[in-house]
Amino acid sequence: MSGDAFIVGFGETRHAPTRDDANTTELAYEAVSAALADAGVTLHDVTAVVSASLDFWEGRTISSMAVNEIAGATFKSESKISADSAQALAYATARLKTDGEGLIVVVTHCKESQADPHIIDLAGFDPYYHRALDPDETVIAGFQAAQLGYSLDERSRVVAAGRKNSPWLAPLSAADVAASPETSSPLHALERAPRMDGACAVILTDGATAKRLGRPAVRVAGSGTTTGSYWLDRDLTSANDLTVAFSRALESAGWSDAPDHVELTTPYAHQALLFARALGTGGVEAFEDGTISPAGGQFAGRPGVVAGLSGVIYAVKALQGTSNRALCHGTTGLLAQSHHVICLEGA
Amino acid sequence: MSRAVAGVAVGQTHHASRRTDVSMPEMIREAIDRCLDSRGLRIKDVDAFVLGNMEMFEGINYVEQWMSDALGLAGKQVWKLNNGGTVGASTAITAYNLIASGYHDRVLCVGFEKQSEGSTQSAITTVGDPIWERAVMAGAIGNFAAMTSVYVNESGATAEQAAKVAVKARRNACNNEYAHLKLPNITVQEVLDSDMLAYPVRKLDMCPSSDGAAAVLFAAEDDAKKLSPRPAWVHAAVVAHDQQYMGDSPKRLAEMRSLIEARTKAYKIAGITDPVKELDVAEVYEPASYAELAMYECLAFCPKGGGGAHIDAGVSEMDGELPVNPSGGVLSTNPVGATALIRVAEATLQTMNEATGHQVPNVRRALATGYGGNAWTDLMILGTERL
Repeated sequence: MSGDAFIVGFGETRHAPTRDDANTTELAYEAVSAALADAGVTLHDVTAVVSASLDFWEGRTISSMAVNEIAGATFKSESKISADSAQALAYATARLKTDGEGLIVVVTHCKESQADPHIIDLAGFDPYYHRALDPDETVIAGFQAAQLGYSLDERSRVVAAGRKNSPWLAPLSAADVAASPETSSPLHALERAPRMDGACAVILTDGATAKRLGRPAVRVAGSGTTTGSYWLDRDLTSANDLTVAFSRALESAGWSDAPDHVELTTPYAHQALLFARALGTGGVEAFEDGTISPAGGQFAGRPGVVAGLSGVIYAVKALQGTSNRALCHGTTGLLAQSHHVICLEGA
Repeated sequence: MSRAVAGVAVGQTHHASRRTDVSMPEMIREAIDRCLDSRGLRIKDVDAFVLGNMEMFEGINYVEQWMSDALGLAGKQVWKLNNGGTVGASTAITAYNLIASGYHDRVLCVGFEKQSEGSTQSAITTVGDPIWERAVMAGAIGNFAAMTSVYVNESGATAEQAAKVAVKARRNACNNEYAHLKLPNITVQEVLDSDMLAYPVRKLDMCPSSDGAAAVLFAAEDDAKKLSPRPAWVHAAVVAHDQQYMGDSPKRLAEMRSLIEARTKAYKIAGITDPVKELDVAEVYEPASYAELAMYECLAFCPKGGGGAHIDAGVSEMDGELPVNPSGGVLSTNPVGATALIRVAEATLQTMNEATGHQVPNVRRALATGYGGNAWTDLMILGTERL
């Protein structure tokens, strides 16, 4: 197992629309302490930390300042990725392979309840030409949904399939989604994944340490990332950047095709259908039969930025003790311009 | 077994307090194009990009996505970092890890900040804990002055000795085409007579606020040798943190524990036991004159408490035994997201023997640091020998 990176522990908070019982540091520690306990290690065993958070959502510049101490980075290294946490896992894997050994905490956190989504969205728009129009993400998501043309029935069923298995939120029917208020035509409010508070952490280590710990390990077999074009006059009906990230991940893992288990991060219902099409994994039925995001994905209540690593944790649970494979995805941006894909393999 | 990695090309902008002649993407292209043009390369020849910037400084969320078309990055593998003053050096260390591990072959690091279009000090105030710290933190200067008072009290360093650092930086900057603050006739007395910002830090003791960008290309093994006649091989790349709360580390500048930790690890990796003799040049991230004195001590360039005597002896001058900041340093140029990468860029140039106008003769090994409010240190050692 030399030169490989293995996930040997994970922790996830209770995600909720508002976690006002914990501040950001406490929330992250809830995930980190659970991950350490799961791996059978302590903060003293940590050799490095990689975090993922977005400053605008945290209301704090250099937002990893809130978590590097509780993740074990004192007098050690902490690196912060400003993107979905799937990319942080990819970077942690590179770090581990460079050093050849170590035990890295990958931690991600977001309290979407503490931010004003409109202000944050607005800051993501071009400051010269777009911002003065006071747009937000919903407006351009509606623009994209209109171009894609998926029916309200299809979109609503995707959301209902996600909520069906949510550990954090009550189930919703497709009729509930379709009956929710219109936001930006043709979108309805419940087609947007819910804003949530939560944190996740995984413990990544080398083969020898994984063997010594004796925990069920899952290998990070490969990864790929792509940042796409920004301007809205691009082809919004294509998710080619996801396809490219997917191909890069498969190539780095040495896989010839996609595995059966796929965890997608999908801010909107129509994007879920678009991403599934880009990966060649089917349509709305793939969400309903559990081929894609069997635990419900982002519609089940995975917070933004945290969603990628939350999907990884669910895949790890499914892969432990097997030799199966899974593919996990994270995305960042106003219209999901950046995609990060991780390949996992039961060890 | 990780791969050998080297810095092979460097580009930077002409730094200034206001680059009103360019937009932020245009400014960054200036650095990228200079870097790639120096080796006859194009964007398509690079495998991945690591970008460093603080989004809240300019108020642009997902800034790397906003610029993806303008920078030619659409469809590329982009890694975005954001960790304060250290971020530029962090892009370089990330590039090192991505190449050493075999993830990518050629990685371009880009650091940038256009402070004239934002409000850096407002954003820096948010860095503190919102309940315990933010109400008593107001930007970088007050925070730094408190730490400096402790350092002065502990070390006995004088205002005159700190002023010598300020003079050295602005005079060295005159030999660097790209530096922002060039003051050829500056004197120690002029520094001592400059406005008091927050005791004991005076205006000329402090770094400027700059617009600018830097880019450094890293490559692996034989590819590095093809790209540069004299690659700057990475001998050590270390990151170390201190505890975050000010009260947990009261001495801060007097005892920069993250810097001491980082240099101890880096010197061990690189086999350095006598840094003044075994290093040939250092580019350190000194946000204020007093900080460079403290850094001499923490980098073991001199004994503890000897920072003032070290500048008095001229060791860190251009003709000294170990020149520090021949580029003019942060005291002359400070586009925050690029500042630490400029340290790595200058160390790379010195190692490649390409620091036009401010080249130190016969550089075999160079040190570069990134600084994040005393709580965060990035440190790289580059050398002409492939280890």
